[in-house]
Amino acid sequence: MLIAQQLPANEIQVDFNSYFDNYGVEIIYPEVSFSKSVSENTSINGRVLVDVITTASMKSHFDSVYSFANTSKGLDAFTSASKRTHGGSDNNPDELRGEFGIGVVQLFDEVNVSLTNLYSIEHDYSSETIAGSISVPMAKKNTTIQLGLVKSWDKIFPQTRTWIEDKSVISSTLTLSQIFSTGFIGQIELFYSNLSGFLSDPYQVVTVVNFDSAFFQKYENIYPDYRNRGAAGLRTIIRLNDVSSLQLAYRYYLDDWEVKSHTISALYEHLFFDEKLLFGAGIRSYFQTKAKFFKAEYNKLEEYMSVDPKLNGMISNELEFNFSLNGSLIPIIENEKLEFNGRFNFYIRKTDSPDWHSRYDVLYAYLMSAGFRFLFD
Amino acid sequence: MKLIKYILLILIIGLCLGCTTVEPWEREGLSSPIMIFDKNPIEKGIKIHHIEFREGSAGATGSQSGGCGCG
Repeated sequence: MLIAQQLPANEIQVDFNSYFDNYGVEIIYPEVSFSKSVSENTSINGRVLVDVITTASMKSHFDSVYSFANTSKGLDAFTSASKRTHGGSDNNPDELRGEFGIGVVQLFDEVNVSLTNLYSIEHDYSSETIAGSISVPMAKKNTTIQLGLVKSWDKIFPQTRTWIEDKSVISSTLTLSQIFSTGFIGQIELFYSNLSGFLSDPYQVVTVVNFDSAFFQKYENIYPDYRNRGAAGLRTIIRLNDVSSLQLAYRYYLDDWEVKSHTISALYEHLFFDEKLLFGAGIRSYFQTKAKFFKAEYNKLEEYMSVDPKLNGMISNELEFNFSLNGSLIPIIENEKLEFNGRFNFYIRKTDSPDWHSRYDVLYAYLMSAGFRFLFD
Repeated sequence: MKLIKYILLILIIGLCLGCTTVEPWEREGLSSPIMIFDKNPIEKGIKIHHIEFREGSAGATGSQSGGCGCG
């Protein structure tokens, strides 16, 4: 774990994650990561992740969809990022995404500096990210200020399109962590991000219906080519007794597309068996207003149009249960350097209007994760 | 503008409270896993990736911190 003034532990972590929802999206993604000290003050890390995605019920075909990205001609469109343009009712994997990362953490006296490079590739999208952060401890290490900067360069090249579009994101984060007492830690975080370029989703279809003439035409989403996002978060850990704590968090978000949101969450954690088993249970609630140009239905062509449910007004709730079990508690293994982790999340989202494609206004999703961490010298 | 004022106020209060000190010999309890934000940053990254794919907000979810910090 990375705490200011410390290098990450030498470890290998392997996780098997999965996601299933009632829209028919199924994702399985194994991930391997490692961290290793190469000197007293330097540590390197790396990760490899593969997404295997099936979007069985998401796939359908529309012809003559007008695209404004590079042409105003009617084109064929498909409603998922599937590589395949036929079929769609089976559960064979449609899409693979690979993510590769490498990073270095360096201690300069008590100041911790990290630099990470991530590269992600799939058949219709690629992204390169450079992230850096600096953590400075103060006040006898009771206060830590952390500044983070992330810059990414994305390329979008959808199937059935001949164009390639760019997207650029730069984000900055300022975090203040404070140990108030042995039983109370607080953290404030400020976030600002600027996005520019192609910000739309080329797999969604806006239907513009003229009720007078009963005429309708299909278009791709039309988005502004910029977005400024800001958020402020506050969270605390409160020790309840020797073996349990409560984490409480609140975040406010707003952007210049007029999306505003409030997020509140709580996580209860309890230790058993001499701190060798950690059990956690949490809840998260999220309230969002819609983007200024989002509409469930359009009756004329507008400057900006979106049917993306992410930009709709919504309420979501998530329940989480997780555990972390030290290997010394398992009779056959009895290795305290091994740790087993598991997590189950149930997510439910209710949007103000039905989804443009499935016509569902409620999304249910199940997320499961299982894996292990092995610490070594 | 009002929001920025509130945020600055919170920051200033936080910095002032930074004068509070927990001495190194008092920190044993802080090294407990129940007193650390985001014990597993990789797992957190995966959770955030899922959420940001389904919601319109991003950022300010916190950074890993806490623990004894006495390394």
